[in-house]
Amino acid sequence: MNIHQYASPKTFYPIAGRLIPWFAAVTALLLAVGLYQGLFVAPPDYQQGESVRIMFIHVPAAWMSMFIYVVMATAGAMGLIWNVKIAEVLARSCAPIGASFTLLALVTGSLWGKPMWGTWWAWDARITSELILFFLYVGFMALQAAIDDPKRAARAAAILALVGVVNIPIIHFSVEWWNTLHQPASVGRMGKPTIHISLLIPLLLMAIAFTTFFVTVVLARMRNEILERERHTTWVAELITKQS
Amino acid sequence: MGQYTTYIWAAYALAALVLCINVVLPWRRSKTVRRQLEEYYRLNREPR
Amino acid sequence: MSVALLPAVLCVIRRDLTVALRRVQDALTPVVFFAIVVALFPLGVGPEPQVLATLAPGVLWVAALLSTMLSLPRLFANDYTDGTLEQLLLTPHPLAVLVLGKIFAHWLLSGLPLVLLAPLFALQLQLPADAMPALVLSLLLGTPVLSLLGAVGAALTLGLRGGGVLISLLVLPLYTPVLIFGAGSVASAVMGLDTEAYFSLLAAFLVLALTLTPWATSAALRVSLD
Repeated sequence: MNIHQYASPKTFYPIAGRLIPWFAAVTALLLAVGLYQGLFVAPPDYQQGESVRIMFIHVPAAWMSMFIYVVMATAGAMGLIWNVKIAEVLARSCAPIGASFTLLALVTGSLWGKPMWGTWWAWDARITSELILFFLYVGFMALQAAIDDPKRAARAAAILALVGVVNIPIIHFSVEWWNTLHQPASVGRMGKPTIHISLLIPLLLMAIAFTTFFVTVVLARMRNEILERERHTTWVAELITKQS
Repeated sequence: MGQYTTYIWAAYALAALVLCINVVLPWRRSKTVRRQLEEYYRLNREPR
Repeated sequence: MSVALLPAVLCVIRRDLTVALRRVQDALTPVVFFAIVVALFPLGVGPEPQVLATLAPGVLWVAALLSTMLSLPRLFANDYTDGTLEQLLLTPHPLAVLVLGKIFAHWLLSGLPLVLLAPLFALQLQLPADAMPALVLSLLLGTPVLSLLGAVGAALTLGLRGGGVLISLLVLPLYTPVLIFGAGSVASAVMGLDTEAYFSLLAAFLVLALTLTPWATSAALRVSLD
């Protein structure tokens, strides 16, 4: 069996079903260890104090938000170039998860900013790029929702994701530049902190946990998407009618 | 955790909420999709 | 009988201009919109010259962004409904180049008037005279990028319900770099700082947009007309 057969929805559907429990178990384990390390083992930071614990959520969420966008754009490109159905399904399934991680990064950033900077929202470079990334996700989902034909929706959204992925570094760089010029006086800048190993461990654990979590839920979403898109095939018909 | 307790718990609670939503939505959707498809096949006896 | 590429592009541009100039009111709407947005700001924040002068670069650029966006659906919509677009797709010429011609015509109608009239509106906002060249140059470099990026959004939302709102959602986040450097160049010209870096970057964006967006736009058109 070669790679093309794995990429067919019919083969992918049961494989994804078998993989989900494994990824879910790994996620649960990593989350448990990561949370324990982050909330109880890791010492308070000498500058940020206990509020550094928010970073164990915020930073992995921000990483995920960018990682998922890249996955989405790559999958979109594969769908566009090689006409891979599974890639189209993957791109579509990524978007809501990525958007939710972006929102989480924004809100936890705000929750960190209130005690540390004394304000809920600062036009910090990273926060601003994250906000724009959120708008890009929303645009992607809105475009897909506006087109009824799944094939056309996938192709149009893939083009948008590719334009977005070229733009993200430019947006990030522009916002950095803009931010160095308009440094708000009320917001004290933290010195570039070198991260201590005791803080790095929970950070990485949470990051891996979020990644496996993403894989788990994206597989679940893809299965739903496949059933809907492949409803005209006999294998889906057999699958559904056999169950009931 | 001193003065930051509220903020820290709020952040972790929101994270838990986001993770839960991401689990619950696909799960509920899989149920509706299956129900819709059953209906669809009942109405169209002869699937292609 | 086939036409060479260059005459074909020129023909596309001439046609778009002719069609637009037959309905001048249509072509002028974005400019009037720009004027209204600029006039609304003093009403909102008060007429103090100091406040207005600090806001002017940002206001002018945001107004330029919004008015370009407003004119985007017009780029392909008419050609889509009357079938001209399908004819363009069928020509032997590369679609990206023809699309570039259409975008150029669009810029002539919506971007260029802004570039020429912006100093007038800038006077209303008490922008110092020293910053006028920076304003004109930044708009001259920036508005084509807005048209080019906007064309992708216009092509993607072709024939969709709620296309107008959707296009703003797709295109405005992509406009942020142009806004930052466009408004930034004017602001630093007001402060008497060096503006060369801003113009270099805006020019770089223009080159990048010129090379990449026509392909994305033509790919999007093929998807929309599939």
